[in-house]
Amino acid sequence: MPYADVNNTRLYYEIHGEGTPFLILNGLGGNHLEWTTYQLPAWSREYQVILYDHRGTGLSDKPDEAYTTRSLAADAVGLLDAIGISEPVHVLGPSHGGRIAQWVALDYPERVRSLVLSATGPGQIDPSFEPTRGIPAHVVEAMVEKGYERYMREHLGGDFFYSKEFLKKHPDAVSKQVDLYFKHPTPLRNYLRHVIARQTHQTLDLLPNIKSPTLVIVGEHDTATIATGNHVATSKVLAERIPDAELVLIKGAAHSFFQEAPEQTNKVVLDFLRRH
Amino acid sequence: MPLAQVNDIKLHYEIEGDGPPLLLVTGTGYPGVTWQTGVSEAFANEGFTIITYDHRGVGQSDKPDVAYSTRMFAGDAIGLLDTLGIDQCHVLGHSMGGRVTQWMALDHPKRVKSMVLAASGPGEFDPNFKVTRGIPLQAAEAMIIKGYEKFIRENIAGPFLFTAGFARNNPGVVQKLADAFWDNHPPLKFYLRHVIARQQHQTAERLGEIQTPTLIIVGDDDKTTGGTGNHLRQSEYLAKQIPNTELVVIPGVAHGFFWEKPEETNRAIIKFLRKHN
Repeated sequence: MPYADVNNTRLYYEIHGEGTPFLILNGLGGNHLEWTTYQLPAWSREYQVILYDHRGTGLSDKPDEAYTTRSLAADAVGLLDAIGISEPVHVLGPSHGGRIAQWVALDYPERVRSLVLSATGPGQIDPSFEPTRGIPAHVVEAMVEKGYERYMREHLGGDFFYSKEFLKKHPDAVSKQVDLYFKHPTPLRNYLRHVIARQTHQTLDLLPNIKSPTLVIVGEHDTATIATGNHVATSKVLAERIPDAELVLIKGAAHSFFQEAPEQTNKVVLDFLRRH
Repeated sequence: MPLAQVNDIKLHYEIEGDGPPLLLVTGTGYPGVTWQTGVSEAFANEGFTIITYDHRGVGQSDKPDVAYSTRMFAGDAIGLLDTLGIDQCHVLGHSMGGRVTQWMALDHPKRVKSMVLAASGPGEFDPNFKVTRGIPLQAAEAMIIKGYEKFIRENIAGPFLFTAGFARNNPGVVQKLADAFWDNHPPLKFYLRHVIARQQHQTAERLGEIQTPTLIIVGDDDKTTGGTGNHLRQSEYLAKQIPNTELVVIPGVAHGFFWEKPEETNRAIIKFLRKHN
């Protein structure tokens, strides 16, 4: 199994396909498997897709230390260095991964060919809604009541991630996707450390400095105001403030539009990548 | 059970003793009844009127479903004094209660005759120790693994509150405090809101404005690095920044000195209160 030594940590990665490198940054606590069903076959036909697990998650090492979206971005670029990729790459990150991707573009602009920010945000955008700068109370409350595993199953398979209609029509697809998390589950403590990284992320004022061509993509039902706020609203802000950005709204889908509408979203992503 | 109408909610309070009023303000999620474990009685016996109460979200007080802050709790405490017709009183706050007391002195200086900040802190003041504004990692993890009740009981019996020898030799004291908490515990949701209120407390920049005579009291073993850091260091900072201050460090105790060394603690506090009566 391929591991790379990155910033004193062993990161698990996989490379699929050939072509321009396309680096994927996982969402909160997730692992490389979450891409394998719906995206990898389509994306790896045209690109050299690099999947990996952030420190603290999946099959990578899990150092017990504070993480930030910025330090996780340094890992992403450290991985490219370690595997000998120096040409600019396409970078895609959903949610937490999209926050990390913003720091990749801010701190290492020469390494980024294009940027896909899916269902993500720049931290606080609204003076009247400050995200909890740490682990939010409602997350702990639900985890204490349910335990970590049941919380994660219900969270990953619930109506934050999926539209109600999809949950009703495709319960098997949802539970298969949830099972992928538990193939390589992120330990509770490391999961919480990633939650802190997400909650303390703040790039709003830096967005005009992102020079990479950027696709901002979000599901129309990704509007729950929890944890970091409404992702449709935060995505609009990303698209407005990043100079070379376009916004695509996926109708009918929530946070997990890559699973809800794979054909449509793969096409949107590939059309964007081909142009850059 | 006396209830006071305060800021659109009802707060449960109790009064004992006779003499100049002394308001006791509890720490994170602690119901007022945790003072009725010998602490309030000892002060009442020294000739004070002791007022204890449940913060919003706790015990028999109302539990509005909104975000809480130490400043909001201070407004509640002042509202309670209004309802009771008390113009001015001594205020003693333990831990988060001390943080609430700071806001009482900042926002309503005329109402606070003197204050005792017991094992409390100012929010973030050390550039090398960032105070999380959410639920602290260790607490969150422990609570998720153990469940709420076990977490609370082990926290009360553990080294944060009591030194190891004391907890071993005085299980009755520990049990009594843990039962007083748990029998009136805030629902989990509101306990967590109290934790957030404590973590978001920030007065470090404003301590110099406080003119109230202040006693800072802390155990010399209150050094567990919890969510807000080490309370000995936080208390030393308070003593340095608040102008009119005395600092008393009780040897051989941690965060729970009211219950571990009650006589020594009460002596220091009564001496201070008498001076400012």
